[in-house]
Amino acid sequence: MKKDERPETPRIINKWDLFQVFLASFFMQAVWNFRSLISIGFSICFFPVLGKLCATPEMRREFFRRHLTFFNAHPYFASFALGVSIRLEEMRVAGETGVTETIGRLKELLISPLGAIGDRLFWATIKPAALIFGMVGIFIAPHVWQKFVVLLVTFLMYNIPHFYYRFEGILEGYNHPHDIHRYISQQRFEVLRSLFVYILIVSALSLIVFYSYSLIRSEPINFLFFLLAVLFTIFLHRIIRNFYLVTLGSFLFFLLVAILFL
Amino acid sequence: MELILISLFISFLALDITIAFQVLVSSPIFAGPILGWILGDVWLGFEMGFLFQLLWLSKIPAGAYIVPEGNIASMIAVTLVLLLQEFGFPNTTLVMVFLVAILISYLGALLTLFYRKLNGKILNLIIKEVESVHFKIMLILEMGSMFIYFFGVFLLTYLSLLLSIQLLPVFIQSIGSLFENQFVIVKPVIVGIGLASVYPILREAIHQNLGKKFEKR
Repeated sequence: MKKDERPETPRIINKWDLFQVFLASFFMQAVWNFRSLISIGFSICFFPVLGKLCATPEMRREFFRRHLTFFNAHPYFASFALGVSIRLEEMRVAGETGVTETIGRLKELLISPLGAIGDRLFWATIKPAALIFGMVGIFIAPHVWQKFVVLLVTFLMYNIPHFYYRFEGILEGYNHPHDIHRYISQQRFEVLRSLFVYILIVSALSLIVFYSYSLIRSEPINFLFFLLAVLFTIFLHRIIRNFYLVTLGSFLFFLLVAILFL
Repeated sequence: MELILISLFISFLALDITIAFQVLVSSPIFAGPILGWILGDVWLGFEMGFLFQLLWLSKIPAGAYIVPEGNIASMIAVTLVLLLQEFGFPNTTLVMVFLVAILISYLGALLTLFYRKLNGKILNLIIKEVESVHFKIMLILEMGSMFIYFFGVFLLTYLSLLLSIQLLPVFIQSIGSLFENQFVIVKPVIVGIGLASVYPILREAIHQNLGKKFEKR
């Protein structure tokens, strides 16, 4: 029998409670600070279940002492740690021993994978894929209402996986606290990531093709500046790592070229 | 009054960046059309959102890394382009607004740094209150922290808009009368710079996909 399927531990938290935690998790990064990172937002997410997990003020004080310590994760994937913590706190209420140490240890172990997987999946793949897809749609849609439809599709493309993992993370963490590592492996998210990598590549290529075509058709010199701006800025990025210097440097350089030669 | 209302609205949308929700509505392609619709030119809002979207996309807010506040900068830029279009010289206006946007993205990053340091003080307060068995105060302090950020962005936005609307028309008219035709390249250059800045993400994506296929073979 798996550890998290022990029949002797009663469940006092229901799905509605977890849904309220899900809603609170939208403010996970509200009080982000350099000392404990997201721990304040993370702790506040427990408020909907606090009454069931801590009967007395002293228990609540101990509870927050445990959770206001250093913790960080991708804001959407922190929900896995939330679910795990809620279930383990529930086990503690039921009288299981050694759970408080397990909570701290598990949260520490989850920091790296939840941060790495979330950043890679959402910040480096789904977000750019959805937004560049939206840009292509906005660029080629001829009417305003069609552009708004594109925005709606872009919004859903990004937020369906976002909302899903926020809520599913809480449920899976809650249902499988001791073997949560099985649910947050890179392989599990690889299909979704690959799908969005394809969307990203196709959208980016489409953007380049459609935008270049429109420039060539209207004013070929603009296409030349576009192409040179891409190449020159990539070159600048290689030698200067500062975003502001590269962006301003490239922009001012092409303004000067335009003033001198156009 | 219009500037105050639009600054409040931008500050509200800015909460979406990291503080609350994070559903993308603060991104330029969403915020641009919304601001365009409010200020009476949704088409221009779409165009400006399109132009500014790529510039900041590769800046990933991983861990404690503070990225340029591109979304706030883009929202202010879109508003400025919409408010300054009555002066003519659309290309010169965009040149000036772009320079202002880069400056604001830097000031926004400084604001975020200050805000996160301030949150360290709020953490101390929260720990003190928890030790005194006062728990509801955590919610009040969280709301307070969010309000401080909201107010900080409001000040940044309002002052940027106010100063830009006072100062930029002079530059736009004097520079525009000289170089408006040369600045016709400004839009493709902005998109080009944006595309170059997302190049590392694209290269990584293409490299990984092609790499996998070669591995399979």
